[in-house]
Order: sequence, then structure tokens, then C-alpha cells
Amino acid sequence: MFRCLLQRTPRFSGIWGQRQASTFIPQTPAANQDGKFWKITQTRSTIGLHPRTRENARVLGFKRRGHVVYRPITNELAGIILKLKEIIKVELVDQAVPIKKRAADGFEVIGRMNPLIAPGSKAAKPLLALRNRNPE
Amino acid sequence: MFGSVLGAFTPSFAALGGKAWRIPWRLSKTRKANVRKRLREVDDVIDVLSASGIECKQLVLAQALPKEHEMDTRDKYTTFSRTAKNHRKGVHKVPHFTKRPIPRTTPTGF
Repeated sequence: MFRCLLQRTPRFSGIWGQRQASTFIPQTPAANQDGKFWKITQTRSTIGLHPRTRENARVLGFKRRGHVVYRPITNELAGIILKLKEIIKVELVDQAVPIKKRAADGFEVIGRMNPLIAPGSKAAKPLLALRNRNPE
Repeated sequence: MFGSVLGAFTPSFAALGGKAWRIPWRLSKTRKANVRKRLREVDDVIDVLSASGIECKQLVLAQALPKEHEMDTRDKYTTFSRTAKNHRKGVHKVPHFTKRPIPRTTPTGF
């Protein structure tokens, strides 16, 4: 868990600090002035390619062939995309697609009842709000 | 594929016409069609980046490259080779040629 937290922060230390700061990709991409993003799909795998090319694919956020990634429109990322132009497909889109929504349950829970707990007793805790599975 | 079935030093199957290890000197029609398709896909990537309104030196260089329909035919299916006869060899002889950047122009003088 601690390692996860480290990976989410930009690495500003060392001689490579400036390079990594300019290509740091936040979790939610910011739109450019026209409100556009790049939707980039990795169409070919990086097997057999130069290690620098594989590193470029990793920096863009690609994990495997077929992986789709939404990125802000910046000059730095354009250079990386041009290094990978043979193995990717790029489109201009209006929004970064939100996380998939879970299908609605066929029922709605209006409360929970345990007849063994006497009302007013120590065990009769207030009903907690049910976890919202589709955060807006 | 053939290494596991035939082994490195056994002769090729007569049933395959003795062609298991042969690499043709030129590409077939379908392979050429696929080369053209991949060149057009790269052109599309460069077009999308051009329409995005960014400034990038590599983009300027990429826009200066000929598009697939502007390319010389021999540049599509063959590449410059220092060691081959006439300094030309089939592009399919370049390892991973389907996903590597292949030069779209020949060096001047060749």
C-alpha cells in the first residue's frame, strides 16, 4: 500500500526530476482549450521493440495490447506518441470516458431488520447508509 | 513454428513442397496490401496530432514525410541495405518490420 502511494506522486528528485515532471500524467486528464482529449489504443505489442520504445509505452500508461488510454493534449505527450506511431491508434474525443457503471439491482433495500435486537438496547445501532455502487 | 516441428538441422517436409525454410525475395500481394494499410494507419496518427493544435519538432518532421499514396513503390516494399546487392532488400527481411519505423525515403544517391 505504501508503494502505491509513492507511485502516485510525481518524482521531483534527482537529475531526472525535470524530465519526469513534464511527462507526469494525473489520474484524471485535463481537457485542452477546445475540451478535447486523446483516446489512444495500443494496437500492437511491444515485444521485440527497442527498450526505449517499450519505456515510452509504459510512460503513456499502456499495460498490454488492446489497452485504451485517455490523455491530455500536450506537446510532451505528442513527442511520445510519435515514437509509438507504428503501434498505436489515436483519436480526438470530447471526454475521458467515466468508470463503468454497475447494472441496477432488481430490488431496492429500504432498511435492515434484525428481530433479535431489542430497540433501545446497546446493540441497536443506527442504520448505516448503504454503499453507493455508482458514484456520480 | 518450424523449429519445433522439424528441428534446426532436419530437412523440410516433402509434403510442404520443400518450402518450410524458404523466405521469398519479394512480398506477396496480400502482404503488400497490409504494408500499405499500416502506412495509412501511421498517416492517420500524424493527421490526428496535426489537428490537435500542438507544437512539436518531431511532428514537423513527421509531417514532412511522404504519405502512403505519395511514396515511391519501391520504398514501400523494400528498404536500403548496406550489405545487399544493389543496396536494396525486401522490407519483410527487417525483424519486426510490421511494428518498427521503416524509412519512407531512400538515402540520396541510392
